Amino acid sequence: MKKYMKLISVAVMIVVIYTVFFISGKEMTASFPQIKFHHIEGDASLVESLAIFGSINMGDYFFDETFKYDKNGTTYEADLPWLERLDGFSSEQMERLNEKYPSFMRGKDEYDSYFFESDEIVAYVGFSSMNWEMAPEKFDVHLLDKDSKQVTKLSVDIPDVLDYWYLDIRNVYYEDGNIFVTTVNHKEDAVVSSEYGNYAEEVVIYTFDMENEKLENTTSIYTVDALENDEGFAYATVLEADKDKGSLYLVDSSEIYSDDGSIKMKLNKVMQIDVASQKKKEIQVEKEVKGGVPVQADANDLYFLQNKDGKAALMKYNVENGERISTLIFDEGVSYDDAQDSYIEEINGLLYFIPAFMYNDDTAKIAVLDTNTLDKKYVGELTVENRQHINKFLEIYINEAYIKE
Amino acid sequence: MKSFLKLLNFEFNRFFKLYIGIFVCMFIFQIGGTIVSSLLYKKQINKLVNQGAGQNTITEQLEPFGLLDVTYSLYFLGPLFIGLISILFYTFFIWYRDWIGKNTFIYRLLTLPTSRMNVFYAKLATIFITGLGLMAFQLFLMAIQSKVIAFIIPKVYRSDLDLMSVVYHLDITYMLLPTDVTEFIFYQYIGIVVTVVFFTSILIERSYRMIGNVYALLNIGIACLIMLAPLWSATFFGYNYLYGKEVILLVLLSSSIVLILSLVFSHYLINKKVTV
Repeated sequence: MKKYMKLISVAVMIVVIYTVFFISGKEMTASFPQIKFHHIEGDASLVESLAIFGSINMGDYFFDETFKYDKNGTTYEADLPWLERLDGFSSEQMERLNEKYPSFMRGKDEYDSYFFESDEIVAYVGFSSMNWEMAPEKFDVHLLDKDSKQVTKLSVDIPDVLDYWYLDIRNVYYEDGNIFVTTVNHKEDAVVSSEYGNYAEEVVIYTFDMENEKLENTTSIYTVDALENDEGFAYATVLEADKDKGSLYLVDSSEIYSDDGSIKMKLNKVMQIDVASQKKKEIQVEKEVKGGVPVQADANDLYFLQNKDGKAALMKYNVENGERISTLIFDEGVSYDDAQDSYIEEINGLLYFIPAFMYNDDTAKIAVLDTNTLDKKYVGELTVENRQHINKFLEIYINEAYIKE
Repeated sequence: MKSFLKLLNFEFNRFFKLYIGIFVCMFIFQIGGTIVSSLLYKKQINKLVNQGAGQNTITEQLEPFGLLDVTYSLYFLGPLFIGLISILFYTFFIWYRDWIGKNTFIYRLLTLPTSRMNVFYAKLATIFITGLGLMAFQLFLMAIQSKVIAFIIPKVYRSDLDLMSVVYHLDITYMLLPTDVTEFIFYQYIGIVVTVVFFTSILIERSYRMIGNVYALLNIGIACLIMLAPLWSATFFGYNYLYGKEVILLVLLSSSIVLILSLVFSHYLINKKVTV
């Protein structure tokens, strides 16, 4: 036995140290900051199903930890078992689809805007490429029949793909055997030219006939001359008026640089688009509305973020009758510049305002507004607790926020 | 079993002096480095205090100091890399040392009244245990370093992330010491397969000498191709075609194929081909 002493000593050291390490490891994220949610006023049930996905970043080191905050508290990706951590956090919709249709969801880019779901079908449009730059070459169009579980797959070359620098899918819609995908295509070497660039943003609807498995139609809806110069630049925004009916708003707006360094918005054109018929209707917008960023929409209204003496205000604009309501999101606290990066989501007749970042010991307010009156139905505050362990400067980014419908 | 344990003990004792040397080197540099940098940090605090700075001013001017700061330093990473490279080097030397010298020791090893594969397994277990031991010792040192920092620097100026969090956030330690037990077992298994592939390549070289070098490299290349095939699935099926769990299962399967083939081939080589 004595001659084995060295080997036994090392074996005992290994067993003891690893046992202590793994047992104590169950408490790993206990020393991480915890996001807490404090109710300030209003109906707290409105945010019960709120889920926030973000990351905590510690400037000097590669400390970048993804977290999810919901009613159960803060869960770090590090808390997840390894095999679950490999696929990371997903949105509520993606989690549900992955669970219900794992075979259909295989290999798909999990962006909510790439999917359309109804009681009968799930439609998906994504890109595929076989080049080193991973630049999109083809549309991958998949349609799942929920009853029969039959999947129709289509892979189609993107028409005139070489004309585009990149493509963004903004909406997917299904009706009568056709899948419609609305994209904003960034064009290089477009007709526009300036000393800053030479590009344009083209809004295109591609129609896929899933019964005959072919690209049926490509319609260029509108082109924004995304001219950038000393005065500012223009861009296209696509907002969903009614996702279930394939109704969109297209907003052509410009950011105008001011001499004092601030940025003003100018609306050039607003259009309502019916995706299936591809009819577009121009909406005349009142002069007062033109100084705002379009952030959300519903069937009859557009919501704009506006700058009121440096503070963030929300304005609701009824596209049918031109009626306007405007309110400060918070009387104190949120500047217009900070609010521009926030999430403003319209869900079930309520408008959720969720900030996009918090620095160090900052707090960030969340608000829920009534879409009819813009009255505040709820106000809460996100804070960071238990940060004394790290005790370093933190940046907390909120990457996505969802309310379970 | 008894022969295997005897051989394992024998192989382990042959490496023990160098092993202890690595431990001593790690201890001196890492603990010494931590003491010095903690004292230097405290000196900076004292300097600011002497200039009349309050606690808030100091925390604004100096980033809090903690174990994470230590792990990004040369005195921490240097000895750790030296230890890892030594074990990697010894993975080859553990075989070649038996052929070196006037009285080739491999002759005695291969003529022992036991299965020749016991020699193979004893060397494999030695590398595995020394690797595990090195990382265990590193953990032990990190725990001491944490205590040293806590002893020298007042709490208000400290960053007190726990040991597991620091391991998790430093790529090199996390790669060697995953914080999830399943992941840890998986990595150790892959480590064993890679070591077996190296051992097989060494036996190929020892069996076929000059041309054996080419065969050995070929063996490593083919093993890599098979083991990493699931990770290359993206090239054939598209990005993210396989779920994370499926990739891991396939890597386990492909590694197991490599392991079995390597062991069978090594068994053949060590019994029929290796020459002294």
